[in-house]
Amino acid sequence: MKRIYPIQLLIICCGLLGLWSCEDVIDVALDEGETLLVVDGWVTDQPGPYTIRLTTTAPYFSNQSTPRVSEASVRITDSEGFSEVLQENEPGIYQTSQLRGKIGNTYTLHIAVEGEEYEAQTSIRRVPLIDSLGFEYEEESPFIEEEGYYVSYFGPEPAGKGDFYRFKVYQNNQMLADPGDLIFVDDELVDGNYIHDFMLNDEAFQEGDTIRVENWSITEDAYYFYLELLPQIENFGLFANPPANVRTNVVNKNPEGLKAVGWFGGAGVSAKEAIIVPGNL
Amino acid sequence: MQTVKPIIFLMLLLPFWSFGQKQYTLSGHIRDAANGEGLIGAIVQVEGQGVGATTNEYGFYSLTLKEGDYSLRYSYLGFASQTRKIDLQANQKIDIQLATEDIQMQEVIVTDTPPDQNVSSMDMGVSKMEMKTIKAMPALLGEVDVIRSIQLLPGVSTVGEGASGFNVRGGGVDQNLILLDEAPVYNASHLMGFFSVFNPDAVKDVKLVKGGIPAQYGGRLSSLLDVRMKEGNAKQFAASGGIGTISSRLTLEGPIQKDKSSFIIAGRRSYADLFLKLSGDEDMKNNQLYFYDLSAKTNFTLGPKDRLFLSGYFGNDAFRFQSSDGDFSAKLRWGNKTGTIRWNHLFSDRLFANFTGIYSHYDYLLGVPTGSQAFEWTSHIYNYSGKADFTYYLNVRNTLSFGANLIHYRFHPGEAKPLGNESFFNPYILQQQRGVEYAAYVDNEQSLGQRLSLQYGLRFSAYDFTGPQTVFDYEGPVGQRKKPVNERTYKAGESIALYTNLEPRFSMRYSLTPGSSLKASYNRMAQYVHLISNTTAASPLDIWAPSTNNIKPELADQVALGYFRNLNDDQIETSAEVFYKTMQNQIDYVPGAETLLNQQLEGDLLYGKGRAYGLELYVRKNTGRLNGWVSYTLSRSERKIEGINNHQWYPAKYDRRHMLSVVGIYALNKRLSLSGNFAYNTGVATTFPNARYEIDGGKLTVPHNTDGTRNNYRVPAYHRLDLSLTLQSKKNETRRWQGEWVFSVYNVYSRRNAFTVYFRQNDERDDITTQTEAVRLSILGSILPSVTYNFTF
Repeated sequence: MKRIYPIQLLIICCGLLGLWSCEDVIDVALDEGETLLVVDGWVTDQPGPYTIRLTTTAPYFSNQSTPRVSEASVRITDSEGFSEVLQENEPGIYQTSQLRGKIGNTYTLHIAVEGEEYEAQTSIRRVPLIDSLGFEYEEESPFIEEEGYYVSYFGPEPAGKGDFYRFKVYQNNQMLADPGDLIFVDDELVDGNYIHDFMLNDEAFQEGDTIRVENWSITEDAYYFYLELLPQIENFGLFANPPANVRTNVVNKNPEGLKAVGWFGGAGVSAKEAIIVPGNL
Repeated sequence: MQTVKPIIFLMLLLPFWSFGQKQYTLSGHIRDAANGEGLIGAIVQVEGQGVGATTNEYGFYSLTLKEGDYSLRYSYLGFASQTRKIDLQANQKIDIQLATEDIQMQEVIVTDTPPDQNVSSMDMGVSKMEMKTIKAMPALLGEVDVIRSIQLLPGVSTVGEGASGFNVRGGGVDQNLILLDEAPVYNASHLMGFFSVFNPDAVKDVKLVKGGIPAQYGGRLSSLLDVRMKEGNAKQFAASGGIGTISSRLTLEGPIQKDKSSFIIAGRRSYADLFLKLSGDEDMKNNQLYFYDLSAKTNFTLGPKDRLFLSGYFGNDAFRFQSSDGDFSAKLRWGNKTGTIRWNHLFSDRLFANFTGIYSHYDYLLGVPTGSQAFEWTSHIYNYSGKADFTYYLNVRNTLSFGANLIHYRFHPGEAKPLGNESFFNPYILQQQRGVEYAAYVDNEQSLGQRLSLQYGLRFSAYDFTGPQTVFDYEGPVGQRKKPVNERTYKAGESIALYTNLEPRFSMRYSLTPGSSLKASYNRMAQYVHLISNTTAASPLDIWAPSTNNIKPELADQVALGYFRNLNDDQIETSAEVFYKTMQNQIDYVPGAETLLNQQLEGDLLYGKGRAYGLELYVRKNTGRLNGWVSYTLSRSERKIEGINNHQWYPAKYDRRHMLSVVGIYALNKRLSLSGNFAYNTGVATTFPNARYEIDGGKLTVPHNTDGTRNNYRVPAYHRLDLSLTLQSKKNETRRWQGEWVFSVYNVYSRRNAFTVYFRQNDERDDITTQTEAVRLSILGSILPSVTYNFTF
């Protein structure tokens, strides 16, 4: 895939140069910025309900969940003319009950809250099926932090450039959600090829674990959202990118109004599940 | 520009006005008596006349005087001066050999006063570093390093410890023209940037020019780092070398034909990987991790008027790793190759010419040799150039330089191909890019009486971006990745974009008193090739991009004013300089820019302007048992880029408000010397968030700056002390072998200097992501002692 992680390879080299670098947690006094609406939600081609999570930004060191945004009017419309108002089932958690995402359709999210109106657009793209998952036991090395089982992806990548994927891995129904587990690729270098032995986890699995892999076929702008996000949540030392704000597709209809951040995405999703049993390897 | 041109034209005519009396030329070479090396910047003074000459890069001088009796003083820092009396009735050739002060020769008259070059020369913003000094300074892990040493000079900063390159007066790392025997070096670093590519044993002379850059040089905005290799001992065979903590060195030099031709060959290699082989860890044994470089040079005196020099450099950094089961592997290699052929020819005693052919190549290879993601990715920059430089020593008041050069560039920004049958990658080849840079210049150094000297010149430069090439325009919102539109294709050799620039250069010196002077300079520089790097420190994988239809040439204008004063019988040199520099067409990047393997790279670039200004104070003592310098820089370097920081000025990533360095070398006795460096720098500017938000259902915390500002905070100040002790073996006249032990300690008080401060969520698995922290990353955060043994015989 296009991301062959050149910088990560450089960092492995730096690591081998010696353990000179060190990290310390320090105290820093930060300003507090204005409070902005945060949108986080996806529609997929899988059955709903789809969830839109509305929160606000918070001071960086507030050390608690960011505040939820309640009593917003949240609506999703699709390119077929369907429209549904989402129900707030929990504070800040808005869900659909009828909408069914379809590959090829575009979706618009409409939010009205505290006198501001926001919109975000996305679409659902084709997604290839996952053929199988492979497991291999790996020893510790500069590439492998801990020894154990590692899962690999096997499946075709459809011909025609312009596909973007995010892989989500679940260990015993728990999604691996560390910054290091964020895996997203484009098909620029692998277009139309059969993807095999593509390792997906960062930390080792154990025998008996149930592993589920989902392939989310995301839009190009969502890929860039992740591309901008990654260097903000993972640091690459000597070769870090400068901190910068991550893009959003949420737009205030009033250009002078308060900005929003976050992402409203659409994806075709395929999945595969397997249990790690030594005999199956 | 329109107003400048006629004035310059007039000035160029000035030197040709009126000579009356008969004039004769005195010329020759000034060499080091010990090894025959030409001395660069040695001085010939006509006593009592306030006129003189300086030797050029080849040790040649020429002085045209009215007929008569003169007393000439030949001098060079650290060498005993010599005085000659001559009766000038015809053109004369006088070659002089100067000896270092401790080898006093009987037949010469020795005077102790060192030259007052600091005050009397036109140079401003120029720092010459003696290799002797560089070698005496404490070095990181004992590796004597040219670039790390110049980082202690006024006006020079870096983005942080271990970062490759250096920043001069607020300019980027790619804005320094680094020349090794006139060949440009595209990546001057070993080991990611911890060390530089120059083998100290092969280097003769290092000069950094930060301002008032003469018209002969161009192509980069901020500075010229002119590294000249030794020519090789023309008197006798000699060997020198060292065994260090990181690498070992060996240099062989000697005459091919005594006093006519000589050679030098110097190599070094690091051996961290040899230790890895000894390690019991199976994984480590398969690793490769080293750098090496080889420098070679030879010169031939073809006749009294002709001299030929051939020099070459070849170096690589190599890294290879394979896990013991063979499942994982990676390799990385990068290196420079340069070659220079030069022919010095004296058309007359007054017209010195040098013709140069240069080859320079930088490339890297990155690969995963095995498995489903096996690939190999390469990138190259090739550079062929030819130039002709003439110096016409018109008369005692005027030295005219003129010349032309042509550089042909070929860029292979990236080519990735799959390896083996298993790989699921397709080949991916970025278009090659080609261009030709042309330049012609004329420059005159003129003294108007005892007090005032001027240097003025004009450089004309042009860059032609040529086909075959498919090019695009880019459209889209400001500050974001733009989309290619309007695709069009050009045939081989067809010009796609042609840029031309006139670059005026001017400096002046006005002597206030015999020991003090005032200097001023202005220069415009144009730069046609750009390093594409959006990481904090430049990486060996960064590519160079030419100016294209979208990327415009970078331009800089700099004015500087300085007061130079020598104290204590010229033993202490001081200077104070202020500068103001503006830069146009500076390159920056959209967030998440993909600078590698990106056919549409230009869509990820942002453009804007820069400015830098500051004050540099410098006190230097070159003689006596204690020598060294103190330098202090107060400066600011800022950028204004559309799409960043709301299009307001913001500090550049290497902006350091205060920079102080103290370097001291103290000879305790004939055998023992102690040296120390201390550096204090304001922390670099960085962007801190003022908010955070959650995505992925609350699992990822993202830092955010609601004001959209860039570089709004500073990391803590950087400071560091290094010490070293050099013990020389007892002098023994009967033995040629001389040895010395160098014990050095880097970062004596183990300060954890912040390279960056970054923000992260506590990534405890399955934890909620509400806990966030600020992390200080230190690159060399502890004390690093080392021992080196050096020898010569």
